[in-house]
Amino acid sequence: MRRPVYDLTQPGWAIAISITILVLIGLAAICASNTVPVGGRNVASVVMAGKQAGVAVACLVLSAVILRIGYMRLARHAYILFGVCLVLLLPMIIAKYLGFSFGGLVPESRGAYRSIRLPGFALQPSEFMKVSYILAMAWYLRFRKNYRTLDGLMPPILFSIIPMVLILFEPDLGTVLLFIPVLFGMLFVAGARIKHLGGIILIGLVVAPFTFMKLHAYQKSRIMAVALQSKTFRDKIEANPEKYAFTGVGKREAREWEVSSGMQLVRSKAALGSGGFIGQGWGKGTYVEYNFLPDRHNDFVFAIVGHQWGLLGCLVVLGCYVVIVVAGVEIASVTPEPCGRLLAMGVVCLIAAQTVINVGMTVGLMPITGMTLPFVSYGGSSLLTNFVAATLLISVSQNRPFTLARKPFEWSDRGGDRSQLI
Amino acid sequence: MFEQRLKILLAMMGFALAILVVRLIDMQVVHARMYEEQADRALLLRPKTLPTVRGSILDRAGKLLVSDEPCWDIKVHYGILSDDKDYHDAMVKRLKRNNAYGKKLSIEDVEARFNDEVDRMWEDLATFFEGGPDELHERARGICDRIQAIRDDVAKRRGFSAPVREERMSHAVVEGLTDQQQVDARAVLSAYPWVDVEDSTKRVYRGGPAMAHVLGQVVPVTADHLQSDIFADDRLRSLTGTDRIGGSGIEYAMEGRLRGARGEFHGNRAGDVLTSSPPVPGEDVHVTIRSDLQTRLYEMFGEEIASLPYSLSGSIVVLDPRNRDCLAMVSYPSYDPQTFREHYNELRDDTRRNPLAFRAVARQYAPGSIVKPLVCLAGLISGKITTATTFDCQGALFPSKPDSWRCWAAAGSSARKQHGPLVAWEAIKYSCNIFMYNTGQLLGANTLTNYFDMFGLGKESGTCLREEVSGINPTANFMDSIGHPLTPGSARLFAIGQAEVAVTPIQAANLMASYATTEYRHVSLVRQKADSPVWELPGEAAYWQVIRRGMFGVVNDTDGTAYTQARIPVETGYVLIGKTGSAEATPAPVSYKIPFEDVDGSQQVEIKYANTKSDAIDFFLDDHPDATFDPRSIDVAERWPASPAEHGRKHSHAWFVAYMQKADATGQPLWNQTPHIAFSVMVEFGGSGGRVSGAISQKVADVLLEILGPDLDPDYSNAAPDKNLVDDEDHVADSGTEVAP
Repeated sequence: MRRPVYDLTQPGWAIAISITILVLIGLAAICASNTVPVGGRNVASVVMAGKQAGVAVACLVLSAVILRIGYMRLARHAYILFGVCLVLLLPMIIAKYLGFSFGGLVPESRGAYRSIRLPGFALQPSEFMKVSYILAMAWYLRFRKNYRTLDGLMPPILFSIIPMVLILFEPDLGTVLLFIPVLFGMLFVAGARIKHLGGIILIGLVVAPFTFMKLHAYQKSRIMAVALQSKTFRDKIEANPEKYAFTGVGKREAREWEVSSGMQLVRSKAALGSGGFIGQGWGKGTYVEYNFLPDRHNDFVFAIVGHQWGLLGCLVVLGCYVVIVVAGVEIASVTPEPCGRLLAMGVVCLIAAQTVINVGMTVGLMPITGMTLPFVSYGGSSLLTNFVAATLLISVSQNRPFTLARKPFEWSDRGGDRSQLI
Repeated sequence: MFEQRLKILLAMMGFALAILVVRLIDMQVVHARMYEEQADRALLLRPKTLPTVRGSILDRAGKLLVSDEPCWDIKVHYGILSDDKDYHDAMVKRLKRNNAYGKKLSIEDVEARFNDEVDRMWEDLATFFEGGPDELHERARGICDRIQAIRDDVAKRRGFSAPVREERMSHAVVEGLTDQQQVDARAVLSAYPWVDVEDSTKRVYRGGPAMAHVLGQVVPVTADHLQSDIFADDRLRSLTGTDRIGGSGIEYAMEGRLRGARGEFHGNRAGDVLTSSPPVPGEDVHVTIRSDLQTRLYEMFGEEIASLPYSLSGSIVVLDPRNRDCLAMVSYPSYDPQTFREHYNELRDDTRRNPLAFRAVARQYAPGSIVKPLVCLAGLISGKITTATTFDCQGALFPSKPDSWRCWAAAGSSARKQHGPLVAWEAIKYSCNIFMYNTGQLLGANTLTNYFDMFGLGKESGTCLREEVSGINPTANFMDSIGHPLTPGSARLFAIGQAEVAVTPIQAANLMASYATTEYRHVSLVRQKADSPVWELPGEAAYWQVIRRGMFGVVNDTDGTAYTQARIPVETGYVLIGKTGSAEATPAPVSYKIPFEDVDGSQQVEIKYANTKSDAIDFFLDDHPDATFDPRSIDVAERWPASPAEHGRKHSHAWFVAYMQKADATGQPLWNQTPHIAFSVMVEFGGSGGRVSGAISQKVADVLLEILGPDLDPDYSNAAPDKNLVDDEDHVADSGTEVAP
């Protein structure tokens, strides 16, 4: 039994409305961002906002199509989609390690190869990888029980490592790290044993220091940024750089942290904090009027939101994510179909993890990784991915039973073991 | 199970959310104020300091002697000068990032290229520098040493070592480029992002060697300067490590007035001006010296000294006795102040001539006979002798011991070998030692040194020059302090200006000015509104007349000690009232032998260029840090003058001090008129005061009359008033001499 495609369920509407609010806030922030000191908005920022709005409209169309198709038909071809995305990642690796840029199709940006340049826009295959990965994982895990053994846990993990390694080579550490909460979230709700998951996490924690030593200096310093915010810690490094050599932070960097590698974080915090309770107002405030904060329309958009609309604005944004997450969990909980359940939780984990990491880094509680704030940050690929993910979530919710309580005598043979749920 | 795990997952997400919200509240509500301040600070533009101009120094006539002139400096970043690794790495990274040396270069290639570029920069810099590449590198090292000293000093005060702002700045390595050079320099040096060509000022000294000592020099700021900065509390006046400060002469003495205050501009991006103050240029300083007079005297003095057998150096000081304005202060030999830095090492190592010594104030000599009038005056005032007291000079104080306590007459070429009975004024005229021995003995050392003190001996003359030494007035306290307590004979020796007594040429001139005016004053070197304090000196007019008559006789009586050499023609309308002095002098050491032991065994080395044992030891330790030696075994290797003086006599410094008294047509002094000019002439190792310095004094008087006019007016100008003095590069001093009446 299925609902008409465009007659959304209650959680579906909640998600749609939240996304709309987030996209509008994002558009407003992007629009306000690149103003020039004399006042009045820079053309570039309006163009960017327009472009973003265009992508949003395109996303709506795409969403309609996906809803029409339904997640189940997509999930059936999940492995193919996953494979296509893997292939799309290859040009980046080729460009990076073989130096062949496909005639400028794969440009370098800040030492990394992350996108394919097409006329008018740039595709980030790693973004699409996220969605196809969730789909594929949901498809793979849906009827199995073997992941409740340690051996059975290995295939899904290896399955995740392939895209992670490819993306790591781009390099795009932020996106790689995003796979971990999604993988664990899905395995966790699918019922993998806590001791297995815990064990893997433990191994990860043990290996982490060694991995840390292998990182690039800039990556180390980004991770250390959380601690480097403390002046006392910086002074310690400066006083005794040999002792703190493992941090990868030199004496000079410690001394000049606030104006060099820590500058973005310092300013992001200042932008957020100076927003106060109600904010400086749209298009107003130091960090909106002057381009002090790099990536403020992008990774650090939350700082600009907080700067303009204060704590209230931040809470509205976070509230929207809470609505999406809660609605998503409700959908997962109600949906009888196992692939849909896992898909829903994968999407929830994806969006929640992105949000927590992005906001966390903006407020200085997380290392700075190139992570966008879903639906708010500027960036077509990111918006598209999150739209698709959210649409899949809504699509799952379309497949729910009409009533929460099982109707008397109405036994259904579809789906899994529904008697447990209702 | 699924439901439960959903709940757990939800709880975990809720927990993360809670942390974020708490953090947001902490930032946006609790600490909002702090972040707002940060945001305001972010708007601030970096405060700009606007450079100021150091005051000019002008002479008595208003001629510009020293000024800041616009020029261009080539500045190199401290990171390059000091080969700082952090700076190098950062620069290499930046060059790589900007693809400065072309794309696709590895970081190692960029680094190698960068190192080449730095080497090439030094070569390019050398083309704009006269001293050659070695000197250039030495300069760079000098700058680094200076900055490190500043850093160490700051670290000592703070208790921990941290970079100082000078380490993030560029420092002038090549200074004083002209506009044309600047254009060339920019073209060549634009390839090096760590080199700047900036507008600056240079200190231009126009007085030539004659004025070099008096005007002094500016030097780069050192840690010591920073610590003793008089304006340390004044943000806009306080020194920074890139400043220059007066290091000697007037530049040092008048630092407080010459130094300007920087301007400051501090605004924010919103267009608000927080502080804005224009730079305040330093005050101009007018010295009392007439540079034309001083230049003429310097040139004349140089010619005269060149004709003397043992002399290389000396000093002339000219004062106006009425207010003790210093009109000229010649110290010979001197140096060219414009090339001082380039030639500093040769100048320092010239231990025979010592061109860096400011002899007019910084060297003290036994005064010899020039204190004799003062001894007589003291005897008269204190009643120990009267104008009629006679002492019989038989060539020695005790006729039974003709070889001790002798009068110079006994040793000299005079046929008489003795002066016979003399009264005070005659004793002065003949400069009789026996009379002075007796008077000194009657006075006793304590009374005598009291009178010395009254006339400014042993006290700085008041010029405020850091070079000035106080001379020695051998009071009982002083003699005790050096471990030679007074003996009964001390007063006798002091009375002929020997033993420990020492005066500087400026004190000698001031002594003469005091003889002429019966008052003691401080010498002033800088024109100021307030008159300097006056100490009236005791004594009846008759007593003063005794010493004046005596000194008149020295020059103008046919049997005076300087009659043949110093007397000036009657037609000038003046007579010289003066006193000769020949002070015994030991030739000065110019190098030392140091025997020492080190790993190669016993050796001996000769340290040239050292005037004193302690200098010699310092230089020695620089070259032989590990050697052991016995300070007592160090010997003088060479002295100057090396050969003994003629007739086997000892060497002596030649003094002549005098003032110019108005006289009538017959050459009789008009005693009621206050003299306008007093001066001292000192020639090191000149020999007889009368013969050498007396002769020079005659020429000094000529020059004075020529430049100050027939009235000896310090402000006299025989050239048409010239308003454009400031722009004239030529020495105005020269123009004064050619139009002499």
